[in-house]
Amino acid sequence: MGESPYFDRFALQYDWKNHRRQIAGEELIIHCHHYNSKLQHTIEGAAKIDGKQIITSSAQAAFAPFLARSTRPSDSQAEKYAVASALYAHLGFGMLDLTAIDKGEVTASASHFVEGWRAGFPQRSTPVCTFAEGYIQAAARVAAGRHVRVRETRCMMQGHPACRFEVSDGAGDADLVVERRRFEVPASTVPEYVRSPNIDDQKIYNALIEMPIHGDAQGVIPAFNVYLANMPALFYNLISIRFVEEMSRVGLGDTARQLLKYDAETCGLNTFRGILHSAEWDGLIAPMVRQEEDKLFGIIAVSNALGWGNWHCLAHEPGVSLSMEARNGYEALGYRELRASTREPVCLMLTGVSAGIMGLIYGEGPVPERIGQFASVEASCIGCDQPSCRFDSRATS
Amino acid sequence: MKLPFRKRDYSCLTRLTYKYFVEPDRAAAIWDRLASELGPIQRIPAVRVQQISTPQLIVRATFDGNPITVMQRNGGDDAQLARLHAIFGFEEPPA
Repeated sequence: MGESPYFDRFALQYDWKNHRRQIAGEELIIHCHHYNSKLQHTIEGAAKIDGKQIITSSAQAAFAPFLARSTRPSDSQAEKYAVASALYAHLGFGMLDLTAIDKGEVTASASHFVEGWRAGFPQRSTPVCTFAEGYIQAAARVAAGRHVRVRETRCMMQGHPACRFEVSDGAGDADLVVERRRFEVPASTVPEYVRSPNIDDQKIYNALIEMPIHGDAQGVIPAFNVYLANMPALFYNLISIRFVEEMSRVGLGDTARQLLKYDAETCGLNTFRGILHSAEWDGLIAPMVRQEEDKLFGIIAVSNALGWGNWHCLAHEPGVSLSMEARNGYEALGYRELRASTREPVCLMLTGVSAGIMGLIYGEGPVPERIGQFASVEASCIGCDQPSCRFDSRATS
Repeated sequence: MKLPFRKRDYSCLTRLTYKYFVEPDRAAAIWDRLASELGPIQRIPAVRVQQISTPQLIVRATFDGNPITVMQRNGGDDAQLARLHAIFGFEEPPA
């Protein structure tokens, strides 16, 4: 992707103090194909709500302003579509050919989400590129001012050599209106965190900021033994908040929260298992590891560098318990920007991941059997007007 | 265990992933041959990783060059994999 004429528009800005990644002013979170496809599977699989619509409209709402900031007033319409394709590939979502969009057709020859579904749900036989549908709708809006409806008619998941999308004018749902209020976490005393003397956090941060986490020639990011993608935090927050709200309307709010935590726990196990077995880990972090808990501190440093937030260990008893504090988790901050404060903690991803990481490091048996071996709760949450988010994980037996 | 041998890697991005453990003193020569067969080696100094990426395969290792992780993507390519096995000197043990 280095040869893309638009590469300089996508330069990474990293906020070292808060561990935030930004491209073109958009805050990005790096997750992997396992988590992204699992999240989609959960949201679209809920029978009583329209999960597909949540994903499509959230993708459109998250990417339209992002694309608008990535294009320039002097760009022609064709250039704006080219920027949209290049950004899609740069972020790691795959190869999207938008050159025939005016004829009603878009194709994709590589896909982050298809790879996720192949890995996690290989039996799936219907199209899976809901996220791409929303992205294409955003691209048409930004490049041509068109309000289009996009539907995937053929998918690589079904064995086709490329995904194909039909683009039609006008019809479809009204745009999702997103109002964001500026929110800043009130200052509070930073506690003394528990660290490993063997793990050099700064070296890990430096390496992960320096390494090229952007799409390869196929627009995907094979790194750390997973396919990574740079996703707007806004997208994750919109789909999670709206999923819980929609499910709450049909009396299933608690179920929705449990499902999102479960997806995150699985992510903690699968994503970080991949990372632990990767050449990147062997090259960068394994030489620092002296004892089992060092892996935990290495993983925490990696997750901070991936933009998940500024989270650190408050207390840790190896094999038994872990207490983590996040001072700017994207879920809590996003909730406060998009909604008011709430009584229910909102950081479902970090809650689930805490349990997953403990299961990965200290659990027993094959990975699927490690789910549930540790349980996490969010004991305090910025979403509930508290100064930071705290996650307590403990062995269940 | 006699080198070279391979282990299935279930933690990886594709289901068709193996780690090949080759003789350490052959690693550099093997990477030279991989580069001539598959394309240029991309080096990522920040994490000490080297890799070659093709539409069908990703081949990667630390800068030490061993073990070599081979990920087959897009369904893999049996002929290309056979060529890699020849370079590694790897032979499937009899069933």
